[in-house]
Amino acid sequence: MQTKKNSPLIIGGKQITNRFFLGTGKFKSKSEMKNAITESNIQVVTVAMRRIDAEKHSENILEYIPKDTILMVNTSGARNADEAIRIARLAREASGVDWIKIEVINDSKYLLPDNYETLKATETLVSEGFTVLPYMHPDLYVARELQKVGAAAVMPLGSLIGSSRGLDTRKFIEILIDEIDVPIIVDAGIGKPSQAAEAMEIGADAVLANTAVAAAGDPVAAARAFSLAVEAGRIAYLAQLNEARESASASSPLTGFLFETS
Amino acid sequence: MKITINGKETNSGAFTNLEELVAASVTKIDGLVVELNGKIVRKNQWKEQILKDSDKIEMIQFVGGG
Repeated sequence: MQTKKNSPLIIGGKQITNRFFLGTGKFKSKSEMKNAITESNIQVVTVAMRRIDAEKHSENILEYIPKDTILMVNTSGARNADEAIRIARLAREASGVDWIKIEVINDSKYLLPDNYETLKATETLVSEGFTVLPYMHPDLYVARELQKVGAAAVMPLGSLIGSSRGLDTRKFIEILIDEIDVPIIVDAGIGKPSQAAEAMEIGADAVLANTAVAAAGDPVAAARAFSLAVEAGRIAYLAQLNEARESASASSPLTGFLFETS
Repeated sequence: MKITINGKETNSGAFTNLEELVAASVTKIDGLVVELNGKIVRKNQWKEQILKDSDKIEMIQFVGGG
């Protein structure tokens, strides 16, 4: 029987089979980024938008992303809802992309997302027909509002961007998983495959990482490790593992020992 | 004629329309999007878009990002 738990991941009408989403920032070379995508069959990648540097010729990153990949444009650099909306419109104009990761940040120390501005931007962009995936601080009320205004998924942070601390917000993400119907994609702070697996084991629908892969010594291998960990975590979740317990529980039968005498 | 491109003021007397300015500024126009005074100008309108003094132009492209 298909339930919410074991149903395939569908976002914006597209079925996602690889639940590991990859950010494309910080790669040493674009060809390395391309190999990381293709060798792990990454299906969803994020890109950002910036001013061109007229003095420096820079290659178009889209040429290095396979055509069948789902592009999601990050509104990074936006400090409020209006700027995020403007970036989304530019992205659609430039490439026809309508998947938007709303990222609104105006704190330069902790880089925390501004949930209020994010909600405003989500509402507007949904009404303009975008598939909107807001990056957010895992607050239940905000997640409910995001869902209500039509977010295609919510993307709670595991820990601070680039921190590799894993699931600092685990309990709050668990609450979202329990209460929110749209897919939960854990984003930010995932530094190791084991942390990605943990997010999937508790029931997240997908995981997005960037720095952990791009800044690894071997990004292609790192992308593979993350993909496999996310898949393993998903299978573990569906397998309904036992809860942790304080006391021991023998794996082998406690009767019929070989050396027992009566 | 002074035009601000990506936040930098430049003398752009040599260019009459947006298409000429774009061609002189970038080598590839794939994935490039241009804003004139805060409004997106579609590629097919670049040629007709006459530039005037104190126009503000943003030229934006996709880059790697999380």
